[in-house]
Amino acid sequence: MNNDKMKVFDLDHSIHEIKHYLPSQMTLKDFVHHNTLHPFQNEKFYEGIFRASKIFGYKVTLQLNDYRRLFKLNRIKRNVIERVIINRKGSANLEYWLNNVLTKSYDENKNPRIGKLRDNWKRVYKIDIDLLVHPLLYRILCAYLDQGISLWNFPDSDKGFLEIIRSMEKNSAASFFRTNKVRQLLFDTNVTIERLLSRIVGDENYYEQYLFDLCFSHRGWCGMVSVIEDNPNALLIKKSITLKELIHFELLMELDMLDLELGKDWKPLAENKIEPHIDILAPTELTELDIVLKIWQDAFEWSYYDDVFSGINANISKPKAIDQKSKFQAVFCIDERECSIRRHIEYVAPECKTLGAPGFFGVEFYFKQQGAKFIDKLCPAPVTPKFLIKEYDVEEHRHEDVIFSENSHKMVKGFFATFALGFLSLIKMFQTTFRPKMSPSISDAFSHMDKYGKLTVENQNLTDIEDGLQVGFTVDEMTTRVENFLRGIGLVDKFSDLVYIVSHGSSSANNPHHGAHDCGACSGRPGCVNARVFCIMANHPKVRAKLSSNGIHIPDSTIFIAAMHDTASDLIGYYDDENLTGAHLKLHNDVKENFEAALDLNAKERSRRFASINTLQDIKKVRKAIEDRSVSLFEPRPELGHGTNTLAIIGRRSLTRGLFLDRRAFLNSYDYRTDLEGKYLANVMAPIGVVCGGINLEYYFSRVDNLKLGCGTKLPHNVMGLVGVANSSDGDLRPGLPWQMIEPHDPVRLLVLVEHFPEVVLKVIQSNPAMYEWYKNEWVHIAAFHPETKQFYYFKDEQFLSHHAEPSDLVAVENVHHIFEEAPEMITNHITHATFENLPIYQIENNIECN
Amino acid sequence: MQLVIITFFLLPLLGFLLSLAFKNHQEKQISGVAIATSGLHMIFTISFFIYWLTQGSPTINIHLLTIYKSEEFKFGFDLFYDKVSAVYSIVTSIIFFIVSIFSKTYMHRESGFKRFFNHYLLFYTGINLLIISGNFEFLFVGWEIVGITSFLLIAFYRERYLPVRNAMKVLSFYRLGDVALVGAIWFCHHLFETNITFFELGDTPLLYDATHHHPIQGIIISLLFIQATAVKSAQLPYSSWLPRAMEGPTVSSAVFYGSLSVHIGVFLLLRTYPIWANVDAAKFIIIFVGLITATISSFIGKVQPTAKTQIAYSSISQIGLIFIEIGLGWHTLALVHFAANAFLRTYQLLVSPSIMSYLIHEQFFKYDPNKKQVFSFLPPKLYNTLYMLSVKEFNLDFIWYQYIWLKFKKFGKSFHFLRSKIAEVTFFILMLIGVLFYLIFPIDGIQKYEFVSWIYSAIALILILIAWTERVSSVRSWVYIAISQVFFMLSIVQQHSFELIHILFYLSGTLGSFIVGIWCLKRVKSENNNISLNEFHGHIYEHPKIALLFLLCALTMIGFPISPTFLGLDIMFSDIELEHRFLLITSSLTFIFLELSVLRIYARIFLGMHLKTYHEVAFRNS
Repeated sequence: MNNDKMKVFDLDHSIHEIKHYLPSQMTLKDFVHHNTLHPFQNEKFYEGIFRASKIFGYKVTLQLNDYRRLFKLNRIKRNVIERVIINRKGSANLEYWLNNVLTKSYDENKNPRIGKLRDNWKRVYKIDIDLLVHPLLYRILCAYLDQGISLWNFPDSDKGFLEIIRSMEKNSAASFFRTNKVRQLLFDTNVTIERLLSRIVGDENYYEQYLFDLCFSHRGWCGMVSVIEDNPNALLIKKSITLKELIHFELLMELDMLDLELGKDWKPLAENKIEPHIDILAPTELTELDIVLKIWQDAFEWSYYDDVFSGINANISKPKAIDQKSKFQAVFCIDERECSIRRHIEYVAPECKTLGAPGFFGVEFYFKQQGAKFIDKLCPAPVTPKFLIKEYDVEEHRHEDVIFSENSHKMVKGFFATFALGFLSLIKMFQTTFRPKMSPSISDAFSHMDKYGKLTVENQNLTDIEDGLQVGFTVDEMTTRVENFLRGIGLVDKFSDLVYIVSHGSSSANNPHHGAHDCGACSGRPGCVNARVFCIMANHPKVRAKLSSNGIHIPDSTIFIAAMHDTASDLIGYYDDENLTGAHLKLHNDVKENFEAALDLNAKERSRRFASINTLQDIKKVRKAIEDRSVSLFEPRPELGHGTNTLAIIGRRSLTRGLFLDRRAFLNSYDYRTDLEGKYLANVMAPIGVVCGGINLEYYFSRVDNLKLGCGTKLPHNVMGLVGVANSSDGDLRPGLPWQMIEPHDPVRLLVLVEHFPEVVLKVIQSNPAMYEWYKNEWVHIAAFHPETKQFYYFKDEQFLSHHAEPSDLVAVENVHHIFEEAPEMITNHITHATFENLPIYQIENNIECN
Repeated sequence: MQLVIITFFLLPLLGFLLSLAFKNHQEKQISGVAIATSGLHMIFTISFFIYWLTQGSPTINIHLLTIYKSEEFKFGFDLFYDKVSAVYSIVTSIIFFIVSIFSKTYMHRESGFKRFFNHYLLFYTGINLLIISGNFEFLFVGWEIVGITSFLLIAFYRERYLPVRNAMKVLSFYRLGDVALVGAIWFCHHLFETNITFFELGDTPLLYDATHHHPIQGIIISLLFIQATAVKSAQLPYSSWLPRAMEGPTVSSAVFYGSLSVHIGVFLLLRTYPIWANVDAAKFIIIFVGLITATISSFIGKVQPTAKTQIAYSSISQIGLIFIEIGLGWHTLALVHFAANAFLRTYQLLVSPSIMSYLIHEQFFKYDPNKKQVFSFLPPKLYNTLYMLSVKEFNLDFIWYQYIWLKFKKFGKSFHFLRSKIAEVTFFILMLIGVLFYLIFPIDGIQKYEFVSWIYSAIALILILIAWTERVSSVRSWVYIAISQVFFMLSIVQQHSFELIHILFYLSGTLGSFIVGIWCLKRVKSENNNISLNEFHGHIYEHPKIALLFLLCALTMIGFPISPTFLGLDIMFSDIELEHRFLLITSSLTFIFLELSVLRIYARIFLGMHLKTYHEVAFRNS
C-alpha cells in the first residue's frame, strides 16, 4: 500500500473506538456499579441515550404507552407535563406538543445501525455465521478465562491467547478448525487482521463497520475481554488476552466456517450487491418521537422531584429542638438502604445523632485476609490505594461444602462420590427448604473479616512493603484520613461517649450478583474492615493528640466503635467492643438494644415489598423471616439492592430528619458552617457522580431495557468461568442487572441536593472536569440549597438558577409504621404496577431534633 | 386395595388440571396446588411402598380397562408395580415435592409463573404414567408427555432465540428415541403376536421361546430399545443435547435434565430387561455404550468451564456407569445409583449459582500457581488433543448437524420442485385414487399391488420432508403436513383390512386441527404480520391465545394423546406387517419428521425474538 495515500482503515484506531463502546462491567467478583451508557457521557443525557439507541438498538426510556398509562394513573402529573413543555418549547407551542405527547401515535420500532453489514451473510449466502462460530468460540474463550470451574485447564496459560492457541494447535492431533488451510493461516504470523478482512470482507471501506458488527454480535464476551485487557486484576488467575487477539481468532474461525460451508470459490462479502458502508458512529438526529419521550421522562422525574423540594421546604420550617449533647452518634454509609435504618434508630433513640458518609470512611487500602493468596481493594473503584492491611491471629477455620467437591465430576471417584453425596444431598435439600441457615456455600458478609482477628493498621516500619504496598498507615497518614473524614461530615465537636461507625455488607445465597449488594464505596465488598480500621485510627492516642493540635478535640471519654449492618439479613455485628468497661459498657448495651429495635422496624419496612412475608405479623417473626431470606437458596430477592434510588442529599441531617424518603436517598452528612470555602466539599462531592450517579444510571438502564442493557431474569443464569453469567450453555455473557434487582425501581435520574451557597457548589463541581461532566451533561440533576436564604437553586445550562418549590401537599403522619402495613404491593413487575410500591414523601411528626 | 395404584398418576393429573384454573398472578394458589399435589403424592408413594413391602413385595399387575379392542389389536390400560416402579416413584415424588416448594419462591413474579407450574405438573403426570404403566402403549403415552413438556420447558423463555432453537434441537434428538421406541414396540407386537404387558414379560418361557425362535428379531428389538434409552439418557453418541437443554429456570433444569428426565432411559432399560436378558449382543452393547459414555463424557465434563454444563456431563458420565451396572445385571445397585445421582445432580443444579462466590472464595485461599495440572503427566500432545476434543465435545454436536440433519435437509430440499401447482394437483388426484382404491376394491385385490402402498408411503415421507424444509410459506408447510398424513394413512390402509372406525379415529383429530391451524395462521397474517418460515417471528408476544390454540392443533396433529388421532396412529403402526420393512422405514421417518415439522411451524411463527422492536427484545445470542 502506498504510504502517502490516506489510510481508509486504521486497525488500532478502530479497535480503540470499539473498546470505548463495549460494555465495561467488571468480572462479577468485583461488581462495581457504573453508568451503562458511559461511552455517551460526553454528550447531553438525551442526545447521548437516543444516539445509543439509534446505533445499538437499545431501548433507553420507557415505552411511550407506559408513560401515557402512568399519566392516566396520575403518577405523572399534568401540570408538570405542561411546565416541561413550556420550558422546552415555549408556551406558544403548548397545545401542539401536548397533543403529540398525549395522543399522537408513533412508530417505536428500532432500526439500529449495528449488525446491518453482517446480516448480509444470511441474505446473500444463506448462512448463519454467528450460529456456526459463536458456540465454539464462547466455549474456547470461557475455558481460557475460567477461574476455577473446570477440572482441566487450558495448557500453558501465560503466553497470550493467540500464542497459546497456536502452540496447542501445533502440538495436537485435534484442531479447533475444520479446514487445514485456515489452520495454516493461524500459524502464519504474517497473516494480519487486515489480510483476513480482505478475504472475508473485501472492500476496505467496510472494515471498520464489519469489526463493529463482529464485536457487537457478542458484546458480552468482547466487553469482558476488553475489561480484562485493560485491567488484568479483574481476574484472580491472570490470563493475558487482548481484543485484537480475539478478533484475529474469530476472523480465522469465520473464514474456516465460510470455507467449509461455501466451498472454495466464494466472493468476499463486499463484492456482492450490498448496501453501501455506513459510519457506525456518524451523528444522529433527534426525531419527534425522541422529543416526546424526552418530555415524558422529564415530566416523570419532576413529578417526583417537586415533592422532594416541597418536602424539604416544609421540613426545614418546622421548629427545632434545643441543641444538646447526643446520647450517641452513629455514622452510616451514604447508601440509600441505610436511609431507613437511620430513620428508625432516630425514632427509637431520639436523643441520638446519625450521620452519613461513603462507606469506606475515608480509609483506602488493600486487605489481605489471613491465609489468603490475593488481596481485596476496599475503597471506591477509581482510587488506587498504596496501603495494605493484613489480618492475623485468626483462629477460626474456613468451612467447606462437599457438594462442590471436584470428585463428584470425575468418573471413578465420581462413582463413590455420587453414592456418598447423593443421599447427603437429599438431607441437605430438605434442610435448606425447611430450615435455611448459614452455610459455607452462602456468601456471608460477616465472613469477610474475622471478628476476633487482628489487623495491621499501624505501620511499624516504612520498609515493611508487601506486594508493593506499605503495610499499615503511619500516624501522620492516619491523622490526615481521620481529620479529612470528620471535617467532611462536619463532626468536629460535641462528640458523644460512643461514636458508632456502621459499615454495611450483604449476605445472600445462590446469588452470582451478590457483589452488587455489598458496599459500592468499598468496590463491592462488605465495609467492615474499613469501619474497624477507621475506629482503630480514631481511637489511637497519638492520632488524637495530632488531631487536637489540628483543632479537633476528641474527648478522652469518646470511643469509636466499628459495626457492620447486613442489609439483607438485618443483623448487626460490632467489632472490638469486648474491651468496653463501666459506663461505656452500660451505654453500649443500651445502644445495642436500640439498634435491635431499629432493625426490627427496618425489617418490617423492608418486608412490605416481599410477598412471602406478612408485614402484619409479630415484628420478631418478620425479623426472622427477613433473616431467613438471606440464607435461602430459593430466594432470588434476598434484598432489593439499590432499587428505587433517586436522591443524593449532601448537607445536615436537619434537612431530612423527620421526612420519610422511602429508602430512596443517599444521605451524605456535610456541614457548610465548618467549611465555608468548600474546601472539603470537593472531597465529599468527588464520589457522588461516579458512585451514586453510576448506581442510579445502571438501575435506570437495566430497568428500561432489561433484556439488552440488563441481564434479564436471574433464573436461567449459568455461571461462566466465574467471570460472568450467561443464559444456558451457548449464550453470550450478560452484563447489567437482573430483573429481580430492578423491579421496584422507577427509572428516574439522580437528583443531587447540596446544602451550600450556589456559587460555592458551582466552583466545586467545576473544579474537576470529570465530575463536572455528570452535571453539565445532565446525566445527574443537581440543585443547591442556600443555607441562609433557604432558597433552592437548580443547575441548568451551567449555572444555578433560583428554583421555586411547588406548594406542598405533604401528608403528615404520627409515625410511619402503619404506612408499611397498608402500602400496596405490585401485582406484576410492569412499571405501571411496580411504581405504586414507591410511596410518596411523608412528614413525620414528633421527631425530636438534636444538633 | 391394589386399585389405589391409579392414584400414582391420577393425583398429578388432578393437580395439573386444577393448576389450569388459576390466573398467573394467583401465585399462592398455583404453587399451593403443586406443593399439595406433590406432598400428598410423596406421602402416598412412600406409604404404598411400605404397604407393598409388608405384603412381601409382590409384582403387581392390574388390568384397569380396555380402551379399544379389535382382533389384532388390544389397547388396554394396565398398571404395573415392582421394585423399579417403587424406587422411581419415590425418588420422583421427593424431588418434585422439594422443587415445588423451592419454585414457589424462586419463580415469584416470573411472567410465566403459571405456565411453569402447568408444564411441571403435566410432566409430573407423564413421568408417573410412564413409571406405573403396565404396557408399552401407556408407557409411550407417558414418554410422549415427558418429551413434549421437556420441549416446552426448554423453550420456557420463548421470547429469546436460543431457548427456542435448543428446544427444537433437543426435540430432534428425542424423536430419534421416540421412533426407536415405536419401532421396538411394533416388533414386540409382532414377535409376541399380542400387545404384551410388562407382567407377561416376566413370563420367561414365553420370552425365551420368542427370542430363541427369532434371534435376529430379538437383537433388533434390543437395539431399538437401547437406542431409545441411550437418546433419553443422553448417552453417546446423543449426549450433546443435555447441556443444551439447560435453558429454562434453574429449577426446571434441576428436575428435568439434572435428575428425572435424563434417567428415564435407565428406567426403560430396566423395564425391558426380560426382553434383552437373553441376548448377549445386547448386553455387550449396553456395557459398551455405558463405558464409552462414562469415559468420554467425564473428559468433556472436566473441561467444562460453566456450572450447569459441568453438572450435565458429570451426570451423563454416572448414567454411563449405571448402564454398565444394568448390563452386568446388578439392578439393585443401578437403582441405588440412580437415586443417588438424581438427588446429587438436582441439588448441585439448585445450588449452581452459589458456585460463583464459593469457588472464588476457594481460589482466594487455595490457589497455587505452581500446582501441577491434572493429567500433566500425559505427553503434551496427548493432553492437547484430549483437551481440544473435549472442548469441542468430540465434535458430536457438529457431526449430528452436519452429517445427519443437514443431509436430510438437502434431501428434502431436492424435492422442492414439487411445490408447484401441477404437483399439488397431482397429489390431489393421487389422493382421490387412493381413496377410491380403498373404497372400491376388495382388500385382497389391492394387496397384490404392494408397490402402490410403497409409493404412497414414499410420497408421505417426501411431503413431510418438503414441509420440514419449507422456508417460505407456513401455510404450505402446514398443508403438506396434512396431505402427508393422508398419504401415510392410505399407504397403510391399502395393505390391510381396515375398519372405517380406525380411519375415523385417525382423521378426527387431524382434520379438525388442520382447519383450526390454518385459521390460526391466517389470523396472525391478517394483521399485516409476516408468517414465513424463514426465521423466528415471536408472534406470541401479540397473540398469546392464538399461539396456544395453534399449539393444541399441533399436538393433535402429531398424535399427542389429547385426541383419538393418537389411538388411530397407534393402531396403524401396529398394523404394518413384519414383511413390509420398506413401509416401516418410510413410516418411521415420516413419524420423526412429522413432529419436527409441525413444531417447527409453531416455533418459527410464534416463538423466538419478536421481530417488532417497539418493546424490549433480547439479543439473539443471549
